[in-house]
Amino acid sequence: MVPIARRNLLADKVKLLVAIGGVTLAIVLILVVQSLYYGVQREADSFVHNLPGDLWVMQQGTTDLVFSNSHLPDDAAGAIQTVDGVDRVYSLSGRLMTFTVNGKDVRTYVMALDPLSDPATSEGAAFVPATGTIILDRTFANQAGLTRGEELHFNDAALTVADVRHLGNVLVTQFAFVNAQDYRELFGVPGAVNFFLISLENDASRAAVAESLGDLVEGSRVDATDRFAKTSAAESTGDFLPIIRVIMVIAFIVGLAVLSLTIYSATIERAREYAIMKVIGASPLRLYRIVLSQSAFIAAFGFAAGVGLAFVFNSVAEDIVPQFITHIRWRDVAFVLGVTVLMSFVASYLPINRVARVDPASVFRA
Amino acid sequence: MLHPDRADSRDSVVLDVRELTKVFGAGHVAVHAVDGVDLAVGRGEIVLVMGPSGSGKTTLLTMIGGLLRPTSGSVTIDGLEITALKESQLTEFRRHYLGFIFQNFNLLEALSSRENVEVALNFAGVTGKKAREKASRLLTDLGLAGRLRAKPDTLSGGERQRVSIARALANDPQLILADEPTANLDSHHGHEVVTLLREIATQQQRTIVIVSHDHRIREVADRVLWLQDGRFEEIDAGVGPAATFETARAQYGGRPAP
Repeated sequence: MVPIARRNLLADKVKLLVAIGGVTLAIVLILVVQSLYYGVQREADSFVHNLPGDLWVMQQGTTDLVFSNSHLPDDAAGAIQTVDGVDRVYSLSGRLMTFTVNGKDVRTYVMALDPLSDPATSEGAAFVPATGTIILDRTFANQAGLTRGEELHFNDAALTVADVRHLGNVLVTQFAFVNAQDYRELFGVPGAVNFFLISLENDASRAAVAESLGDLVEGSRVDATDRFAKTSAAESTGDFLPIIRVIMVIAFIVGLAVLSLTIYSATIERAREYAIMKVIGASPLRLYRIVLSQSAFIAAFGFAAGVGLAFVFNSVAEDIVPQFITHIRWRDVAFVLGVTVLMSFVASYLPINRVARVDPASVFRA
Repeated sequence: MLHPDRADSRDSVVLDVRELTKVFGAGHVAVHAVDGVDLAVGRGEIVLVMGPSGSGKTTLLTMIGGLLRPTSGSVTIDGLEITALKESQLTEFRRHYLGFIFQNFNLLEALSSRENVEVALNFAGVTGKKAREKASRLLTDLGLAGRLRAKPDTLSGGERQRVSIARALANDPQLILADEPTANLDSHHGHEVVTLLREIATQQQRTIVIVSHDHRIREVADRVLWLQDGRFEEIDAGVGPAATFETARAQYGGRPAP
C-alpha cells in the first residue's frame, strides 16, 4: 500500500513539526502536572510509612499531618502502653515554625518523635536528634542555605543542624525533627501531643488493639498506618487537585486545537486530491483511514516526544527547584496515551466530515 | 435527436447511454444540462464529444462516470446499468471498469509517478510488489521509465498527462473517460497524448470517450459528436466533412480540420 497519509504529512515538514510540537507540549504539560500531583502524594505517603508504628491515634476529625490539628493528652501514653498487643508507644508532635537563619526568616514543619523509652534501641531513633540539634530535610536545607553544624534561631534559642537528609517534602513545606525535650520547651503545648504511634506485638490483632485504644482515649480516632498515609497523601494534594484538572483540560485543548487545525487544514488543502481518489475508486472508509492515519501519526510522535521530554523536564526541574517533586507512574503514561488516542480521534472528526462531503465531480472543474 | 447505435454490433457495445437527462434546479429556473441523450460506443472506439462551454459535456461525462446521478435515463457499461447502482457499488465499479484522464492531470502531489499509478491499483486490491511492478511497467510502456520516482511538480505537462493515462489504465478498464486531455499541453505534447490514446484504443481495445475543444483529437476519433444545449445535434465520422467543426472553429478558433 502506498502510504498516502505519511507522504501527505512529509510533504510539508514545517507544518508537521509544528503539529507534533503542539501535541508534545500538551503531553508534557499533562504528564508534568500529573507527576507533580502524584510526587507530592507519594512523598506524604512515604513520610508516614517511614515513621515507626502500625497504628496512629489522633484526635477525631484529624485527616493528616500538616493541614489539620490533633491534640491528645500526653498522659494517655501510660494507659496505652498497658493495652494488650501494644509493644511500643511513641508520641509525635509537630508545628509549622519560622526560624531565623543569617537574618532571614525560613519556615519548616518541625516535628518531635518521642519513643517514650530508650531512643537508642527504638525503631524511630533516626528521627530523634540530640537536644539542641535539628535534622533538616535536604530540600529545605538547600533553600535556606544550611549545612551540617550551622544554626537556626528561634527567639533566643539556637538549634544546630545535626544532619541533612531526605525526610519529607510536601511542596508547601518540608519536615524537620528536633528532640522531644526541645520541642516541649520551645514550641510545645503543655500537656498535649498531636499523635500516638503504636507498634504492635507480632501476634497482636490490629483491629482488636485499635478498638481498645479508641475506647481508652476519649475523643480519639485510630487509623492503621496505611490508611493514615493514604488520607495524608490525599490531603496534601487535595487543594490543588481542581487546579491540576483545569491545567490538564487546558493542555488537552491546546493539543487538540493544534492537531485539529493541522489535520483540518491539510484536508482542506488536499480536498481536490480526496475528490480524485473518490473518482478513481477509493472507498469512503479508505479516505477516512488516511485522515485518521495522519492524525494518529502526529499524535504518536507527539506522545513519544512528550513522554520523553516530561522525564527530562522533571529531572532538570528537580535539580533547579528542589521543592519540585515529581513521580511519573506508568499508569499515568497509559492515561496520557489514552488522552492522545482520544485527541487523535476527536481531531479527525471534522476533517472526516469534510472528506465525506467532497464532491468527486469537482475534479472536472478547472 | 440522433440515434445511438453507431457501434458495429450490440455485442461490442461497451457504453450504452439511453435518454440520459440531467436537470439542475426546478420550475422556471430549471436547466436541462443534458437533455435525453442517446449514445452507444463500441469496444476499441474513440468518441470525441465537442460543444461550446455550458453545453453539458462535462455533466454528460460525470454521469457516464457514475459521479453524478441523472434525472432520468440510463447508462450501461459492459452490460451493467450503473444508474441503478448504489453509491458503494458505483465506487467499486469505477475502480475496475473506468479510467479517468483529466485536463489538470489531477495527480496526487505528494506521491511519485509510480505511486500515483500504484494507488489506483491499491484501491482495487492489488498491493505490494505486484502493484509496484505493474505501475512501473505501465509507466515504462508510456516512456516514463526514468521518471518513476519523480514527483508531479518535477514533471513536464506531457509527462504528467502520461502518468495520468498510466493511472487510468492501471486496472485494465473497459472504458476510459477523458476530460480535455490536451487542454494544458503544448502542441507537441498534445499530439503525443492524442497518438497515445489512439494506440491504446486500437492495440488494447479500450473504449475511450473524450470531451474536448481540441480539434487535434478529431484526427484520432472514430466519431465526433456535437453537444449543444444538452443534446447531440449532429454526429460525424472523425474524418468526414463536418459543419460542426466549422461552427466550432468559428466559435473557438483552432486549426482547420484536415
